[in-house]
Amino acid sequence: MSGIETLVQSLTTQITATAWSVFILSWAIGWAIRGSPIPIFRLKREGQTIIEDAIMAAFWLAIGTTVFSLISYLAGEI
Amino acid sequence: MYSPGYFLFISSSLASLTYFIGTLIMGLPLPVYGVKKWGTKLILDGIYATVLINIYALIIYASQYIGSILGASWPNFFSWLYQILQVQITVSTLVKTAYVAASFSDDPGLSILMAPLMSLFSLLSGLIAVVETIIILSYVVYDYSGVFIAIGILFISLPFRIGRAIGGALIGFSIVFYIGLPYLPRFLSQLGVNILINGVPSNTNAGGLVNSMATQVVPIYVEGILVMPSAYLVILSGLALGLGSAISGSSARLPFPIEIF
Repeated sequence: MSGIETLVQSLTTQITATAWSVFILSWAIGWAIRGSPIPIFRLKREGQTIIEDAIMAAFWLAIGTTVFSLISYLAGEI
Repeated sequence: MYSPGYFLFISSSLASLTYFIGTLIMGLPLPVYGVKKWGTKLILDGIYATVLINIYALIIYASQYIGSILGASWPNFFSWLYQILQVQITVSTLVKTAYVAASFSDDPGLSILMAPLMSLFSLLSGLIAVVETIIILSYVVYDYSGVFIAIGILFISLPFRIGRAIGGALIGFSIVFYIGLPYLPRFLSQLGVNILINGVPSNTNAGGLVNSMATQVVPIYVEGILVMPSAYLVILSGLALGLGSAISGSSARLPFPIEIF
């Protein structure tokens, strides 16, 4: 493999790992905000939004990892 | 190294990179809508680029199929272009020969024809250059349309829609010109300006030659080699822009400027 492909693929791997870490962080921050003893509805709503976005991101991460791996596998087999 | 497969392989890597950057942005713990919307956009871009990569062969096949339905054939088109070139060179040689004959003559009546003959020769040389340009453009389209489509997909795969417009324009240009360019002879024939039907002037004396060249041959040549093919290229460019715009989802520009005159 040439330099560009290696660079792009290593970048993708690093970003995927970062995305999973960010998902866990967002999940924790979201629940921390939502469960905090502050009686401000808008703040709790933001916490809820962060949790929802983190779950959606994790879903697309899981789907993407599976689909792109499948495509790479099929392309390698042909 | 620079085969369509190579570009598509890099495109595939870039599409997955775009997708995962999208998921990263989507999962950020920042309640800022302006940043978050890029997450969804990039995920969609990654999926779109992956779809384009996987239908690459279908795009090529569809282009060839539509071209065959229209009755346009690349070998026939190249043959037509070289016949045009041959006719032009014949006429140009005739004019040059008349010019040389006039320059060697002591007859002042013939010498006076040298200036118009030289003008005609210059004009014919320009028209030969036009046909040569069309030949080069045709070879570029015929030989590299697959590579251009692959490069277009590569541009579309870049993250943050950096090369989306130019990628769409490249794909649109390649598809439209690959299908449409061989149709040029039929287009000209239907308009009655195909110069292969109007032959070389039969007048053999120098004065008659200049007269028939200036009043019959050159106007037909300018119309059939310069004006109508240019109009046809502009029509194709418009279609290419439209298709490029549809593919990229935004306004697109051609990879080269087109000017008629």
